[in-house]
This record gives sequence, C-alpha cells and structure tokens, in this order.
Amino acid sequence: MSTWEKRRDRLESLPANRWWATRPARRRLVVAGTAALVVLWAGLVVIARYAPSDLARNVYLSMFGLSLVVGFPVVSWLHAATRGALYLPERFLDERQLIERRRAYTSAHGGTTLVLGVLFVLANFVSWQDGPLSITIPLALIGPTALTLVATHYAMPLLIAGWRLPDPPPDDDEDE
Amino acid sequence: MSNEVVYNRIPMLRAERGISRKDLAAALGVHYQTVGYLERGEYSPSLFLALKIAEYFEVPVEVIFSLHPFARLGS
Repeated sequence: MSTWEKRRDRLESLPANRWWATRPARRRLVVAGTAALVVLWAGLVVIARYAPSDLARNVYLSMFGLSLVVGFPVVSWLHAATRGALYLPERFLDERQLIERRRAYTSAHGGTTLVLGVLFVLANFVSWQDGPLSITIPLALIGPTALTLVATHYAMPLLIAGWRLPDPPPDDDEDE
Repeated sequence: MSNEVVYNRIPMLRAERGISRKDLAAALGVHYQTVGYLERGEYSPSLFLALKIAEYFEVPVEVIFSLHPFARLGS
C-alpha cells in the first residue's frame, strides 16, 4: 500500500469526518479559518505601523501564534470534511471530487487575483502621493507578507470547498 | 452552474438487488458519497459513469437515467 493510499484510508476513518459532516458545522469551521487568515493580515498592519519596536514584535508574534493555533486544526479538519478533495492526488479522486476540486481552485484563483489586485492598487496609491520620493518599509514586513500570501493562497481553495460542499448523504448503516 | 436535472432509479435498483452504497461505489470505482449524491440528484454523472452504472445493473442506460421524472410504478 502506497503512502497516499494510507493517507486516504486514514482520512476516511478520522472522527473529524463526522464532527464536521453537516454544512452549518463545516461553515463554522470555514469562518474560524477565515478569521485566522484575517489575523495574519492584521499582523502585517501592526508591523507596518509600529515596527521596529518590541511592541510590534510581541503583538505580531501573539497574532501569528493565535493564527497557527486556530489555522492548523481548521485546515486538517477541512481536509477531512472534504474527504481529501484538495489534499489527495487526482488519481485518488473520482469525477465528482475532481469537479469540486477544480471549482474550488477556480474560485480561489479569482479570490487571490482580487487580493493581489487590491495590493497593487494600494501600492500605486502610496507611490502617487505627494511627498518624499522614498518611504521606509520595515525589513520585518517582508517575511510575514510572503508567509501571509502563501497562507492565503493555500487556504482559500480549502475554505471555498468547505463552504460550498452540501450535506453528505447518510452512510448505509444510518439509512438502512 | 447549470440547473439541469437528471432523474435516476439508482436507489430503486440498489434496494431491489440488495447492494449497499459502498459496494456499488467500489464496483464503479467512485467514492461512496458520490453514489449518495447521484441518488439524491445533486450530481449528474458523466456519460462514462452513467454507462458504467448501466453496465453494472445490466440494463440500458435509459432505464436508470431520464431527463424527466420517472412514472410511479402502477400509474
């Protein structure tokens, strides 16, 4: 049995499949995941506004920690709730799961395009302001910005798939 | 997304032959939830999957799938 086959089987037997089986429960999970992402983005504002300072470092690290503590379980549970539609290689998915996966990626692509578009507009807005020709951006902003973009890029398809998925049909032993 | 509905008799055939959703899914090579979504009419199968289902039950595809609701037995 290959590693992916083991992962697929483990995913199918996780208790989280039942915890988050209903649409309202899964949507609460998506809201928590979105909140974790928002906290990461808010941390960038803290760095931009207050770095370099102990206050900026401590507040950002606290926000980052909170985001990790919430984000990691949410991502794992959403992978379980979507039965690995965005986690497993395509060869382990059937045609319905592949459609779900492609729809989620398509919508997420639109979402990340919007985020990058907003950043582009903001960057241009800042550079067109009257005033000095150069501004100081804290070096500490670079790493967290890249991390936040990666997290957004990774999480968005999963959040979209988790939000959209209908209630699953009952298992055989539940309806027979 | 289209609102096209494909009606099917999969639950009836499955019940008639005493086949569980998981057994049917394994025979078709799909996730067992996909069979559930098919039965509830929330997912319309590809032509390939529809033909595989017809082949599995050994009936013509139009016996299982229809663009119009199936008449009730005895009507």
